[in-house]
Formats: sequence, C-alpha cells, structure tokens
Amino acid sequence: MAWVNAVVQGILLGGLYALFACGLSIVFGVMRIVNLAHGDFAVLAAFLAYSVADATGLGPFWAGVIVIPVLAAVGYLLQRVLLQRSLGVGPLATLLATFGLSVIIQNVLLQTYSADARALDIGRLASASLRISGQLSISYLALITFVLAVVVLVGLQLYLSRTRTGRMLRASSDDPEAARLVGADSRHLYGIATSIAFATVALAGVMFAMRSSFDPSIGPTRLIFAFEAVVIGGLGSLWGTLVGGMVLGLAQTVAGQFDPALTLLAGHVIFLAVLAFRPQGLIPARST
Amino acid sequence: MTLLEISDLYAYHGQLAAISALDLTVEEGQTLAVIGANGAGKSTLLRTIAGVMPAGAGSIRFDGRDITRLPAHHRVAAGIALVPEGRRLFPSLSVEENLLVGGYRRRPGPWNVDRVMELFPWMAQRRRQSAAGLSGGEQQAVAIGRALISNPRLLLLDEVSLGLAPVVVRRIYQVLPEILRAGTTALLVEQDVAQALRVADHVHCLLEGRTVLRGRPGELAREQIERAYFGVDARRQPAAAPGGSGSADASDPAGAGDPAGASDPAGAGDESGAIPRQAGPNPAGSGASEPSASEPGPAGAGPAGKADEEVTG
Repeated sequence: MAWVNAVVQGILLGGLYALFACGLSIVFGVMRIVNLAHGDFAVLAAFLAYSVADATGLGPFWAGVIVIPVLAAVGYLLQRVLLQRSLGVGPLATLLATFGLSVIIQNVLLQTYSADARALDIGRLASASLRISGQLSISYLALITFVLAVVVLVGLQLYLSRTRTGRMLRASSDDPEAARLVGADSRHLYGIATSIAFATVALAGVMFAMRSSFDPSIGPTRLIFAFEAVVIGGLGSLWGTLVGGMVLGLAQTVAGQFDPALTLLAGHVIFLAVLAFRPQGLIPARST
Repeated sequence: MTLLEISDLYAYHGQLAAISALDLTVEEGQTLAVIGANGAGKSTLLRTIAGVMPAGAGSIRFDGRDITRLPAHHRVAAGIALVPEGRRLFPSLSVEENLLVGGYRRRPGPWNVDRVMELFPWMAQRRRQSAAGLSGGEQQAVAIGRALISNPRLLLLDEVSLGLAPVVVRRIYQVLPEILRAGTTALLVEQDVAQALRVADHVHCLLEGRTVLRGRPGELAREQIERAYFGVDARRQPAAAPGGSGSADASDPAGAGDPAGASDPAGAGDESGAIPRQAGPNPAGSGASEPSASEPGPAGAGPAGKADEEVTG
C-alpha cells in the first residue's frame, strides 16, 4: 500500500511540475528562448503573494488571484522591452539576459525579504486530506494543484487550437517569417506568449509556496525540475509536458520509498535516460 | 491607376546589392511578370515589397502611400500578400488552419475558406490533414489560398512553378486567371519564362539586381529576352554548354518527382546576392544549342522551353 501511495503522490506532484514547466515550454516553443529566470519568477510570485496576503489580510488563494495578472503584465512588458531586443542579437543574448534577470531577482528578494524561509499560510487546508484507506490519503492541496494543472493545460491547448491568436502563435512557432507574411505582429504575439507563460509560472509559484517553505534562492532548482519535465515529455507538446511532470514526480516519490536520499537523484537519472535514449521526449508529436 | 510604384530601390544581402536602382510600376488590375536568372534579385524584390526584407534605399509606394518602412503585418492589412518561394506552409497546422491563419488580417472581399475550397475542391476532404503531408503541388495551392484569404489588392507570387511537375504547374496556372478575375493585381516572379509570358501582360527582366528589359510579351522578341535574361556575356561561353545543359535538364524531372517539392537542386537556392550562380550562364548555352530553342513559338529559354515540351509532348 505504501507503493500505491508513492505512485499517487508522485502523479499529484507531477501536476505541480507540469504547471512549472508549461510556461517554459511555451516560451521556448514560440520564441526559442530558454528562460533561465523562470524559476525565480515563480519565487517572485510567491513572495508577492506573501506580501499581498500580509498587507491586505486576504487569504493566499486570493493573493494568488491578484499576483497572477500582475506577473502576466510583467511578462508582456519584459518581452517587449528586454527580450525582444536580445532576440535580435542572437540566442546567446537571450540566455545572458534571462540569466541576468535570475541574478537580479534573487538578490532583490534577498535584500527585501532576507534569506529567511517563509510559507504561505493556508490554515487547516495544509494538512487536510482525503482518507481513502489506512495508508493512502490524498492531500486536498495536492489534489487542487493537480486539478489546476490539468485545467491550465487543457485551457492552453484549447486556446492554441481554437482561437485566432492561438493559431497564429503555433504558426509563428513553425515559421516566424511566414507568419509575418500572413500578418503576424511578432512583437505583440511574443508578448502574449510570455505573459501566458508568466501567468502559469506565477500560479505554480503560489501553489508551491502553499505546500512548502520558500526562500529567495530556490528558483534555480524549480527551473531544473521544470526543464526536466519539458525534456522528458517532449518539446512543443503540452500533453508531453504533463506526462513529463508526472514521470518526474513518480520517479522521485517511488525512489523515495527505497531511500529518501534517492528522491532527487532518481528524477535526474530519469531525465538523463530520456535525453540519452529518447531525446525527442515521450510525446514528441507536435500535437499542440 | 498605379497601385505599386517602386523608385530607385536598393536592397542588400550584407554588402551585396541584390537590387540596384530599380524602378517598377504596377497598374491596378495588371499582371506583371518579373523574370531573370538565379540571383537576379527577383525574390529579394518580392520580399522587399512584402516587408520581410528591409529596403536599403529608395521608396515603395502602394496606392499612393509610402510603405517603404512599414512593418510586414501592416502591409498585409493594407492589401499586399506574398506567396513565398518554397510555399512555407505551417507544418504543424492542418490545411484548414493554414487557410484560417491567412485570414488573420482579413480585408473585406470575396475570398474566404469556402471560396478557396471551391477553387481547389480536393481541399474540402482533406481540410483536417496536416499541411506537411501534402504533395508539392497541393502545398502550392494551399499557399496561394492562404494568401488569397487576406483579400489582397496586390498578390505577389514567388516561383510558383519551382520544384513542381510541369503538369502540376500548368494546373496551377490554369486557375490563375480565375483568381485575377476578382480584380486582384498580380506581380509574379518566374524562372519558367514561357509560363510567365503566357500569363503576364507586362514583363520586367532583371539581371544582377538591375532592370535590363521591360515591355509587353507580344512586343518583345525572343532574342531580346534571352539576351536580357542572361546578359550579353552569356554568348561568349558556348564551351560550357553540353555538360551544363545536361545537368540543368536532369534537375527538372528530379524536382518534379519530389513529393515535398522542397528541394530543387538547381532552383531552390536563395536569391542571395548578385552572384550569378552557374545555373545562370549554363542554360544560356543550352538554350542556344538546343534544337528546341530555334523553333518558333513562345520564347523558350533554357528550362522554360524544356518544361513546355514536357507538357505538350
């Protein structure tokens, strides 16, 4: 039964990883930018939600509702003002720009909030769980996170396949110049893609901050997990990202059953194995 | 009425002037063909008009308005649509989605998805299929449809025949009059000179980025076009002809059989720079030495005459 529990927890954890990863996947898919500050923006969102909750007395969920659109706006501006310029210079410039952002965010957070670990207090929900049997119980928070992740991914999928802008984002990802020839304003489109990515990473950051403590330095670890989920699932496929997140989560919790020390290692090993034997990812098809 | 007016246009690939001091006007309702060898600057010209390539100097006026510095997407909204060289469909989108994307900045007008599917009836059954799985000719039809759906006033067609079987090329050119009947003005670039002369009411011949000849197809002698096409120097190198003509001809069926149509070894090259590639002078020799070239009829220079033969014979 402990194993069943590990599997269930792993899948639920995968939802959170997928939430972290989908923004990374979109930004890479549309603009070929690897956003090295992705994890740090999640942490930034967590701290902002913390401050909003602290200042207004709102619950963390409502604080999240406020922070998500703020990050989306930040994403749009950041793309138009900074990333668009670096795109013109070349792929290395975008890497450097996002790496610089990562350093800046970490240090500003450190300066503002100190290095103390914090947590978003969600009261009884933090420990409440759905008891299925003696050894198997599902935390409500993990379940909510997973459901949110699925809703976000399905929503994104529908957005990309059904709407005019979504179609143009996919077209632009295929061939940016041909997209301009049919009327794509690439700057605006890239701004939209980045703001979607930032909204999802803000949600991921807030959900993460509800389940465990955070401090200004944890961004890069989040980035690595997100990156691994994207690669395991297959670039450019949102379903792949969900599957990638779940595989990563499963690997961690199942390995943790053997020995808690193996938790992180197992995830990295799975990632390397996929990279070595199936570099296109588990669901490579451009089904978006 | 003058729809497009280009004056003293320069465009550069790095240091190389792909287009130099080019003047060109297109009247509303006209079909203008720009012909010239590889590297003459034809594609560069269309790309500069469409706005995906910057103009180095000079001006482009569309419907009286200066659009020289206008971004590409505003030009689409103004009524310029380019069918790019090599089709450039979006492979991860379905046939229908490719057409829908073409309507992103749709102007009011007769063209929509249903109308395009009437023009090419096979599309209706295959609307959900990925555009990547189509044959070269089918992709070309979708690419034309995608451009039409924006309801352009000026349709730019870049090497429609490139890498396609002659039969397919003929079929595509058969629908062209039907497209233009709606009042669309067309500026087409074509290596297949015979084909270009058949559909166009004005011809403009480029050599190394400069205009060397212009006029109505009926008023131009074949000799004149040949000379303009290859430059006068071409006459001086008959020695290269036999080998050269063999390889140039061989590339034709190869391109025709290629289902993706993406790689025509002779023609798929970019129009980058004013360096005349080998393909330029070689067909010149072949055109002069081949018996077909001396036959009367539409000016069949090099590969053009060859394609024509295959269709009729």
